[in-house]
Amino acid sequence: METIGRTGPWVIDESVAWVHHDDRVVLVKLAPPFTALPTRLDATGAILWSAIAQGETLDELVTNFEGDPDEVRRGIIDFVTNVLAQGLIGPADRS
Amino acid sequence: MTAELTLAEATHLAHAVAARAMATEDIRVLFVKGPVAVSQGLRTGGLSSDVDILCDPARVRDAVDLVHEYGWTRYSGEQTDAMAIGMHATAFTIPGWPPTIDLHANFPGMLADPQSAFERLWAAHRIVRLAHHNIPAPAPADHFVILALHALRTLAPGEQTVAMAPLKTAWASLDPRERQDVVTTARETGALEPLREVLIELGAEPGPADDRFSTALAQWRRSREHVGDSAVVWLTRWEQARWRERPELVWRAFWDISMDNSRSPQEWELATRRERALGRLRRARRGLAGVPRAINGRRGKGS
Repeated sequence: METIGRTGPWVIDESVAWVHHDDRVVLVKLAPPFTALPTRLDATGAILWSAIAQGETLDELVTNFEGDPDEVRRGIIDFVTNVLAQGLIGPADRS
Repeated sequence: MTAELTLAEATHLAHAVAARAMATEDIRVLFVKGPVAVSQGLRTGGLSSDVDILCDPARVRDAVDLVHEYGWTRYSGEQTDAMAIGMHATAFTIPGWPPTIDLHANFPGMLADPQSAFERLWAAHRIVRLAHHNIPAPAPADHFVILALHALRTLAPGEQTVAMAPLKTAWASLDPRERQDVVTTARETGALEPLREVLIELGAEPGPADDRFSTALAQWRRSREHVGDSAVVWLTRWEQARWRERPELVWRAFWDISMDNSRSPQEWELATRRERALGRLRRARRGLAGVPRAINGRRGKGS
């Protein structure tokens, strides 16, 4: 069974600064010593990031892409798992 | 990865990085110019390679220590203590990031005591959003005063028409109440006389002359009359320095090769001993030659 952390919605962690220009997102985690280099998300990653920022759930994210729904879903879960592990996003407060 | 960033992306993110860094130590700062001004409608777009920060004057040393702790690099050479020699800002870079971060202890043309000027700006400060983060900034009217002073600072008297086009754009973005606030802020921060002609040209009524800062006003006018003349800049620093700071000032002026603009500080670091020695000789010769000119210029103006 999927946990809440994997089905969304999520929120961008408040320590993350990010910009979305054209078809890419550049982000950096703001934490001492504040020398981290930005990370760039291109194409699919940028679409996912922006959709997550808008509060989309896993089911809603899947609808942004064409192709085999199960395969798309697995790819999104991989992405979400990765950014969750990095502390870049967290589960949205559902209260 | 950083090399592939656009300057706009990096500058927006660097604002957020610097804001968060200062907030961790409760250091009050205001972000000015650049994308902050754009977000307030005071500037049209355009690339900015700097993050300009006006720091609580009481915490500037803490801010400098803080950014050193974080490993940020002083842009104008590690040996240069900019504040000690009367420069109004110190530039830093975050390793691997393209923008410079200019930490201002005061803003040239705001002739009032820097602490009281800062408190005045802080009292009305606003939050703008850059890179999805809160960035403290002056209120738009206060920000206009800063932008106008910045525009005038490097222009000789009579050249200010060059600065008027962007200032008219900024002025047009303000409502009537804010335009009145511009005059009030200019008066309260000691910027009224430096900006008097500009305000009149914009249709504002600056009111009676403010004669509280006559010495600082004379220095402001002299620096504008001798834009680009480093001898005048150093002479002004000499006049403003306390006696115990003056030996270092002389050493910096004539000998600190990291401050010689013929190469970047980084290039001077890599120069041979002979190149540095020759550079120092040229700098000392140029400096000594400029002193009489600067003093004569000062006397000629009767200030």
